[in-house]
This record gives sequence, C-alpha cells and structure tokens, in this order.
Amino acid sequence: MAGPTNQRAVSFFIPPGESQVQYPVNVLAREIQNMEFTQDETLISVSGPTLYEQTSDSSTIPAYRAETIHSVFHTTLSGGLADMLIVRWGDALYWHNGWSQTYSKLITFDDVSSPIPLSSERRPGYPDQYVVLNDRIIWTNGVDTARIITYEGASFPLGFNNYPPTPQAISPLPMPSVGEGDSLRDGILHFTENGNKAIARMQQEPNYRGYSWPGRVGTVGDAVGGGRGSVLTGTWFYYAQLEDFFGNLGPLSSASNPAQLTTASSGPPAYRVQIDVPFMAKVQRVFETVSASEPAVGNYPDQIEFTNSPDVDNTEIDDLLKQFVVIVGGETPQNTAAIRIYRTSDTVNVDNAPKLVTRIPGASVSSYPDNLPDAYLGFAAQKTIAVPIFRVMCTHQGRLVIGNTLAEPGIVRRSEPGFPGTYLESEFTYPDAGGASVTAVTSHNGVLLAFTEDTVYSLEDFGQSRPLSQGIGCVAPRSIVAMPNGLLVWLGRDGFYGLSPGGGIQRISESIDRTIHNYLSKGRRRKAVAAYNYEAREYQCAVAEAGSNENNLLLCFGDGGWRRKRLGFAIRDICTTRDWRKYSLIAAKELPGITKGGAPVSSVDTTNDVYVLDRETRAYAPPDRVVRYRSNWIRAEKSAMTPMHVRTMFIGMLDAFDGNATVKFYRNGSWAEVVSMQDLKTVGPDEGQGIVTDAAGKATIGTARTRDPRLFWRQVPVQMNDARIWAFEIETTGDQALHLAAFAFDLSVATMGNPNSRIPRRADV
Amino acid sequence: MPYIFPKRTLADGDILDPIDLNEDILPAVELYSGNLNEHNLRGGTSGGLQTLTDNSLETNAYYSFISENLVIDPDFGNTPPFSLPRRTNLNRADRIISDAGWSAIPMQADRTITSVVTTDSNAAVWVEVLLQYAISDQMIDPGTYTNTASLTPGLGADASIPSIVPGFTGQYRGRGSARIQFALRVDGSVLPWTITGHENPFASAPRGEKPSVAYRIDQISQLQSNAPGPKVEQDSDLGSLGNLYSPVRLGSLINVTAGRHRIEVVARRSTGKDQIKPFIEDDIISVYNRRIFAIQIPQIPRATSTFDSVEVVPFDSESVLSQSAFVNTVDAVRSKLNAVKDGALARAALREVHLPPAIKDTGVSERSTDAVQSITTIFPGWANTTTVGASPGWEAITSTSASVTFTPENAGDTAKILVMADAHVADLFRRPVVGAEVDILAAIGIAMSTNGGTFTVLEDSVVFFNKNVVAGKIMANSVPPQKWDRVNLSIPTMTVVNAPSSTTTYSFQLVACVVPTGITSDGSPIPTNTVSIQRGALSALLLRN
Repeated sequence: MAGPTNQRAVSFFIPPGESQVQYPVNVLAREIQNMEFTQDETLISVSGPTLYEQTSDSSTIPAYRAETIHSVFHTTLSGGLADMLIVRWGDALYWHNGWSQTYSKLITFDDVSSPIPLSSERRPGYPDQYVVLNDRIIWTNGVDTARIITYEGASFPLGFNNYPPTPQAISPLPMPSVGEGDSLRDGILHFTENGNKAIARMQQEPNYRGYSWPGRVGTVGDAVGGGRGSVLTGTWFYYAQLEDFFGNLGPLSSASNPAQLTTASSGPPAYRVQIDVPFMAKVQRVFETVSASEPAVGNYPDQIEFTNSPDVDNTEIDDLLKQFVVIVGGETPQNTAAIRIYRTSDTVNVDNAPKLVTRIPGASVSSYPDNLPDAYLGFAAQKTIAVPIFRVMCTHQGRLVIGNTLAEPGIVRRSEPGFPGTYLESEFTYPDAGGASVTAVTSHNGVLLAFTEDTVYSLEDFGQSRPLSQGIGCVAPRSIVAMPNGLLVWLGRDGFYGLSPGGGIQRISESIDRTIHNYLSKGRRRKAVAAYNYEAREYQCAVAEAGSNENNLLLCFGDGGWRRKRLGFAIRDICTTRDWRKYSLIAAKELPGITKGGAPVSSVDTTNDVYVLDRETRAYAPPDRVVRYRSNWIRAEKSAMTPMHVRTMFIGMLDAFDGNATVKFYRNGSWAEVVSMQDLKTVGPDEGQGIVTDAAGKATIGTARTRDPRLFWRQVPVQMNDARIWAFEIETTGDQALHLAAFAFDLSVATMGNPNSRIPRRADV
Repeated sequence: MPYIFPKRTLADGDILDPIDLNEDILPAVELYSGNLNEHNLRGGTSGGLQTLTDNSLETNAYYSFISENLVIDPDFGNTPPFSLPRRTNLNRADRIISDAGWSAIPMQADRTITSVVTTDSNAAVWVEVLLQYAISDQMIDPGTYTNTASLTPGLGADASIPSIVPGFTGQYRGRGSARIQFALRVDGSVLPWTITGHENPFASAPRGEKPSVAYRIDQISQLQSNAPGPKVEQDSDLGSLGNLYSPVRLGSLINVTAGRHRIEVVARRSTGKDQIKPFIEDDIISVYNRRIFAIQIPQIPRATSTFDSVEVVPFDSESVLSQSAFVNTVDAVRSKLNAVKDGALARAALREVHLPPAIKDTGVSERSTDAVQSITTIFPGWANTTTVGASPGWEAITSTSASVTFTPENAGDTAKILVMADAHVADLFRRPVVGAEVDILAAIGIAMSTNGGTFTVLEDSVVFFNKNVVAGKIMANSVPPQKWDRVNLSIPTMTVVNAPSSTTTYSFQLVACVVPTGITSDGSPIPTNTVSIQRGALSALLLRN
C-alpha cells in the first residue's frame, strides 16, 4: 500500500508533535463516502434519497416500476409554464402526471394505438440523451429514431428518416410512332372509333396525347417554322419533400418521371394540307347507347357528329403551352404535415435545379395541377438528408448537433437553426482526420466541442476541426457537465478532465486514480451519467464499480476534492431539475443485496423509479448506507521510515445528531483494524447551552430553541505505537447525521534508540 | 413548481438546526406563493376542480365570443318556378365592389359596421365565417337562350332585367367563374392563407382531370374553336371561386396581442383572364346570408386574480420552538395549502385534466358511403319551416344527424352551439329539358329540433349553389340532354345557436333540396331536378358560454 509509487497520491505528511495544527477534513481524506462538502468546508452526511412519485395508493405498485428504467430528464417548456419530467421505462417514454400521481406513456403520434417499441437493453452502448431546442425536448438513445417531445405529452419522430414517395408527373406524351396506335389510347381517339387512323392523328397537335391541357408551362422558341414561334421540346422533373409538424424538412425525393413537351409550332398545317379534314367532318362516331339515367363512366350518348369542320388555324403560342399534373401518392409518415413540391425548369432549355412549386398541407397529394411557368417557380430546394440514427447530440447556436451516426461514426452534422430535424446535405464535418468515432459533442463557452476517445476537437469553425488536446478524449457522452464555475468536466479513458473557461484542459481526478484505474468497470464507462448537484454543490458521475454491471457508485467532485456515494442504487441516469428547486433526480433501481433497517430486501425487481437525491420522506425508506470518512495514510516524514506513537486524535465536529459514531485506526499500510472505538459522540457536551438537551425527541415545545450547531472537539485516545504510517476512519450509519470539521493529532516519534532501527530487517518475518 | 421534498425527516436525536428546519418549511412557502403548478393539483376524473360550475368560473375565463350575422332572403319565391336570387332584400353595401381591391363585408343589419373588433388581451382567436354569394341576375344573357319553349325566365318582376325571350340556353355573359375571392383581414392586413382560391386569381384552372378515351374530350369541350389540340373545358379565371352561386366558409386561428383589433371579412373581384378584360357593368356579386363567429381564447391573459401568498419568519439560532412559532410557520403554510386560492397558482397551473371541459358536449356524424343520395324535393320557400321530409320541402341527408345536450349548471346558465356541416354534392342536374343549365340551383341547410321535436330549418344556415358552369356543361346536341360529368362540389354551411337556460337536447340535421328556377310555365311539366349527395358531415360543439 505504502509503496513509493503510491505515496504521493495517498499519504499525507504530518509532523510529530502536539496538536498545534488543525487539518481540514478535505486535506486528509482518502475516501469520503456518503458525505457532502458544506459551504463551511466541513463534511456532513447525506440524507435521502426518496421516491419522486410516491403514488396515492402505497399498497399498489405501479406497473412501470417493474420495467427497466433507463433515463430521466426534467425541464420546463413554454417559458416555464409546462413542467416536464420525462422518464424512459422499458420500451416507452413516459411523462410525470402529478395531477394523477403517476407517470403515463407519451402519446406517440406516429402510431398512437401501437407505437413502435423503443430498444430496451442494458448492454453497454450509448445512454439515453435529452436536449431542449426551440421549446421542445429531443431524445435519442443511439438505436431508435430520435424523437421530439412537446409540452402536451406527445412525441413525434425527429424529422424524417426515409425518402418521400417519388412524385408522378403527368404531361403530354410523345406521339406514337406509326403502328402503335392500336395500343395507345391515352387521350387520343382510337382510329377504330374515329373511323380513320390518319384523321385521328391529323386532328391532333404534337402535344395532344396524354395529359394535355392548355397552360403556361413550356419554353417558347422559334426553332420551327422560322418566322413563327413554337414551343420547344423540353422535359421537367418533379421532386417532393415532406415537412413535419415542426417545420422540419425531410430529404428530397428522387426525380419523377419526366413531364415533357414536344416541339409544336404556332402555325399548324393549313386546311389545304389537311387533306382528310373534309372527310373528318363527316365522320360519324358511334357510341354505346345509354339510357337517360344517371351517367356513368363508359356510357355515352347515342351519336355525336361533327357539325363543323375543326378549325386549327390561327394558333397562338399561348395556345400551345401546357400544364402538368403531379401526384404524390404512396405512404407518407404520420408526422407529415405538408408536402412541398418542387419542379425543375425546362431541363433541356433552362436548368435542372428543383424549385418550389407549392406547399400542400396534408400527407399526400392526390393530384396537383401545376401551371407555373418556369419563371414563376419559387426558391431552389435545399438538398436535405434523412435524419440518421445518431448516438450523441447537443445543441449549439440554435441548432441540433448530432454525431456518430450508424453509417458514419466519425461524422458530426448540424441541423438548420431552430429545426432540429432538418439537415442539409453539405452541413457535416469529420472532426478526426481518420474518422474516429465521435464519442460526445457539447457546446461550451460558445464553442462546439467534439470528442473522440482520445482527442478533443474544437469545431468553432464548423468545417475545420481543431484539436484542443490529443491524448485526452471522452468515453462517456453523458459524463459531460459544465460546473457553475465554468469548468467543463468529463470522463476520459483514464480519469476525469476539466476544461477551464480559459481553455486549458487539466486532469482533475489524480487523487482518485487508484479507484479509476483499478476499481471501475472499464466496459461500462460509456454508460456513465453525470449531473451537477446544486444541493451538494458537486459534480456527480454515476459509474459502475469493477465487477458490477450497474452504475452503483457516484463519484463526486467539488470544493474539497473528490468524494463518493454508495446509496444502494443502480443509477441508470441522473439529471438536475431545471427549475428553482434544482433537485438531483436519478433513474435508478435498488441494488440486489441491500438491507433496509438492517433487514435484507427480498426483491428489488419493482424498484425501477425516479428518486430525489438529498431528500427524505417518511413514505420511502432508502437502503441502509454507511457514512464513512477514511483518511489517507499519514506519516511523520517523507520516507515513512520514522515510527510514531499516535497518542491522541482530536476530532473537530459540529453538532448534528445525539448519537455515536465509530472511529477506527489502522497502521503500517494494513487495513486490519488496530484500534476501534464505537462511542464517538457526534454532539458536543451540552454545557448548559441546551443544544443537546433540546435535540429532537427531547425538546419541549415552548422552551426548546433552534440552535446553530457548534464546532466542538472530542479527543480520541489512540495509543497506537510504532506506526510508520497510519490512518483512521470515522463511520456511522445513514440514520445518524455526522458533521466533521477538522482533525488534530498528538503524535510523537518513537524515541527508543535510532528510529530507523525499527525498520524490519531483511529476513524478518 | 412541482413536487417538493423535505431535506431530512426529523429523527430523535437530531439537533434542531434552524437551517434544516427552514429547508423543510421555506420551499413550501415558496410553493404556495405563486408556484403551485399542474403537478400539485389533482386532476383527472376524480372530481376536484372538474366539478366547478359556470358560477365558479370567471367570466370569459375560457373564451369569449364574437358573433355577428345577417340573414337575407334571396327572394326565390315560395313555389316553383323560382326566381334566381334577387336583390330585393339587399343593400348597396352588400355588393362586392368590382374594382379588384379588397373591400370589407358588413356583418350587421345597418351595414355601417364592416368589422368585428376585439378588445381583449393576448389571445388566440378562432374565426369561422360563412358567406353566401350570388352573381347578379342581370348576367344571364338572353341572347343565347336557344330553347324553343316559352319560358318564364325566373327573374321575377325586376324591371331592370331585359325581358327574356325564347331561346335561352343558359350561357352567362361573363361566362367562367364568379371571379371572387374572400379572405380575413386583421388590422388592415389580409391574411394570405385565408384567401380563397389561388394566390394568383388569374391562374387558369381547367379541371385537373385527365382526358381519356373513357372521358371524351369532345363531350366537354368548350375551347375556343381556333385552338388546336384537345378541345378542353377551361376557365381562365378559376384561380378564384368558380360557381356563380355558392356559399363559402373560411376560418383561421389568429394570434392577437392585447389591445383593439379589427377582424374583417373582405372580398375582391378579379377581372377577366390575365387582367385584360374589364369588368362588365352588370357583373355584380352580392353577399346574402353571412355570419362571423369568433372564439377568443385567452393565452397569456392579464392577471385578474389577487396574488395570494404566505410569509413566514425563518427560524434562526435561538428561535423558540413555541406553539406560536409553529402557528406562524408550519401552521400558516398548512392552512394555506388546505385552502388554495387562485392567486397562489402559477400561470398555466390548470390544464385540461383539472378543469371542467370548455366544450360541454359534442355531436359528430358523417355520411361516408359511396352511394349517392338523390334528392328531388323542392324548396318550400324561404320562411317556410316545413317539416323535414315533406314535399315540397327539405330532405334529410342521411347519416348527418347529431345531437348535443345542454344541462345548465346554475340557474341562468346559457350556452352556445356551433354547428358546422359540409355536403359533398356529387352532381346537380335536371331532366328532361334541353339546355337551361342556369336554372339548376340547390340548397342545403341545417335543421334543428329540440328534445326530439320537429326539425326546423335554420334560415341562417340556408345556402344555395348552382352547378359549376365549367364542370357541368351540357351535351347541347344530345338527346335527351344530359350533363354527364359530376360537379363534385363541397358545400359548407354553419350556424350558431344560443341555448337558453334549460336542460335541452338539441338535434341537428343536414338537409337539402332543389330550387328549380327559370323553368317553363307554359304547362310543361316541371322537370325533375336532382341534387346528388354523396358524402356529408356535421359536427356540433356545445360551448360553455
């Protein structure tokens, strides 16, 4: 234990002598468990936690408590009017309904009756993440489609993750070649019905066949006929784009089939060249005979004949322009609020950029007659992509920044401002030149940061990543928390790091390196979750201890250094309420093997719930816990070769609880107990001040007074001899409050002979 | 503010630290003082605030109404042959000015007030408007009437109308659409999304149907004869409304800030194709029945409740834990929380799960069958409340009946019932008469009965329409004359009923009839006019007054 490599980190030099010096609690600490640092730089035992929703009927266990709990998130929306507590149990997202004292599932708007279940697994993948953007909550877990949650308790897919149906363009069709007339009946009268195939053709203009309605679309030129104008051959393509209820745009569809026009002249053949016209005028077409009843498709009046010769002369250019119809059929997602239809200009004669035709509310377009000339088209379509599945996200400058997508683990994309589900094709970057997986993204001090496992990149210029440090990365996206002092803290491969407001990155967990390197699960670090605890004024990161598959340990960092909490919970998530309460909530489950009131708990299967840290109620009994302060190894001089007599230890405390604590002493690097006393009183002598006699349970209404706790000292006669290094431990249970302030010691060097002579000889056993 | 929790439950042996005690009490003090939110108040079906009655709710707490309407008899007459809509009961202010500019439509009887003004605070205003418009009867061009029968033109005794001679084919002089658009205007700004028709009122809009062999071009062709290619029916002015007689319902949700706002219904005429045709003098559109109904829903209203709070003196060192100390702290908070006043609630603390519903009852019905219901009963006259089902009279459109029941919560309580209905008119035709498509009108309306009594048609809901002139071309030379293509019109109507203070069940029924106009009076049998209803829907909302 006390080997040279560990001495700097885990031992403390206290010169021998009487207690001239007091040592604050944080100076000597090796392990502080279930205690918090106060504003007075003292340590006080934690209280709580308690159940957030204690339900009105305590005899009935809500069904959700048997589901695997995954995450918890709190915020307020609508300018603070809507108080949202979101929890994920099993395969669904819930929200807290205080008005009915329960949680209910969010309405999944894409399929209200049978929502697609979310992935519910506890393998060490990426944890659930939540952010708030544009007054809505966005959730992802890296496996399922990300979702937008509104204040009404409804969730929607984030944008669109697939392509919209390809539009179908309907336009005039090319004239059939000779011989095709028998099978082509799109709008032309078949020669068998007209009586003469040639006439049937001749009565048509080139763009007669198919959907052929006069309109305004077409490129006018003079390619045909010299002095007379014509409509030029051209093709147009349609694209569709879906818009969701929040204005997010999905990707552009693939191009439609071409809408097309064939060159048509404004000066059609004169009568004299239509040799069959006189004949045509006489053609009598025979149709089915129908009654005078309700008309029906396929039924026609008896006979119709041309009474006048068709007059096809004097055609103007305007008569040749057409309009098209576009149809967007097929299945569109339930979150489709509108369909935007884009169309190119004449791709043969103008350009091929899709431009807005119209935006049509609804989830489909049965048919839209498009009569916009090319010049009337709106803005050019933005090339957007489908929202990918992504594993990490943050908000930055009003955009949702996502990273580590299923297909591209090394990519970072950013949404359009205010539209977290709209991603332009070109808005992406690869922070790592080699495309290493992005393990986290965050926005801090106005700078977008992207992390890989071993590098931190600044994306201040989005397209050009700049490494802030190479060798320092982040392994847990949910471990990133900004402290109130501006320090950004996260968990790297080998410990916790802090990015100061000045931009410097420093390792802040050196004092607990031993724990981090040896006693934490390495395989589940990705699942570490953290939040800032305003009650304890510390960064709290829930991690899994070595050998555990649950985040059973809270590593806490704040004034006074690192502390730890073992509360008897598997902590799946932790958050801070974003309101004036500033509660720390955990999504947790009681750990197997815990005890309550000293008795074992038979089953913890139905304890998946949201708990409030640092708060207690009588409705919930938390697992038994041990409050412990264990000192570092203490030595008299640097080399720890001088034997000491630890005569007395003085413990400075503040009145907290009229009870006893246990104090233990250890010697020479062994955690085998040497001296132990169980009667360390945790209040000072009353001395007529009434602070002890007025403790709860003894106080008398009317005479009792509230009193600030006093600092008092108690001496502990240790009488431990021949200790080259030594340590002590103060321990109590969670039921009793313990408030430690400082320590002082009465030590002496073992004076018999040369102190170094007591160092064991080479062959001593 | 949602749940709060004590820092530490007081246990025997705990030192009575004033900070610990304060941490337990002060959050409750802050909670009560304007921070109670939805999570602190029981909701759902367990009663509580949901049992509040009108008397316990502040006036206009949910919403307030703006309601104006005018009922104008189009003076069809009472028996067939009916006149086309006449201007007998119109005021000059009911004309839409034919100058292509937006003009407001008066909503009150004196026609002097053309707008609705709201003076309430920040609110979302849901506006629904129903208008009946009709083109001037002078627009019928007698010169093209080719029927050989001796006709009474159905224009009544309006001396200003040229006499109609035989030969009437029903072509309109301004053939095409009514070329009218309606919109809502708020504080002088027309809301673009409320404009009926196309944004570009001059857009050409032939029907979006594909000609095919099965749907022969020549049978619907009215294209000018010198155009090549398919002879298609087109109307260059269908960017605006097409029918010459039709009701229009439009609405919007408008967010307004506190203050006075002018919400108007406006209309404009467009000139002919591409603005090159001038207005014809007689080409006048007038508005008949009209209604504006707005529900003003406060969003962030001015606070009218008195702030209620509790104040305590925090414990300090050496504070005596006397009975009075607890009375002034713990008891004070307890008392407040046991008798919460409205001023202690945070904004938006009460949501739908807490409060009695704003809509007291709803009734919805829908006719969704593909089978067409052919209605041939004849208009019974404007003011004739003929029992639905009689002939002449109104016929119920099947499966479009819905009921709501109003039970006053307190003496004097009243309610409003907003009824909106739509009929999908598959077709409108007559036979066996040559030509005269102009004469085919039909009407729909909403009939109401109370407590299972007789259905009476509500005049303010009666709207009429003609066959879309573009869609409904006649086969002029066919025998017998038929109109083969369906018109597929969606005809809206609406009414608002004031429910007096008595327990009553109100039933509503969508009804229709035909209005044979301009038909022969020479002894020829009245031709069969038919309006074919395919789908229909009716919804009634019983709104807390």
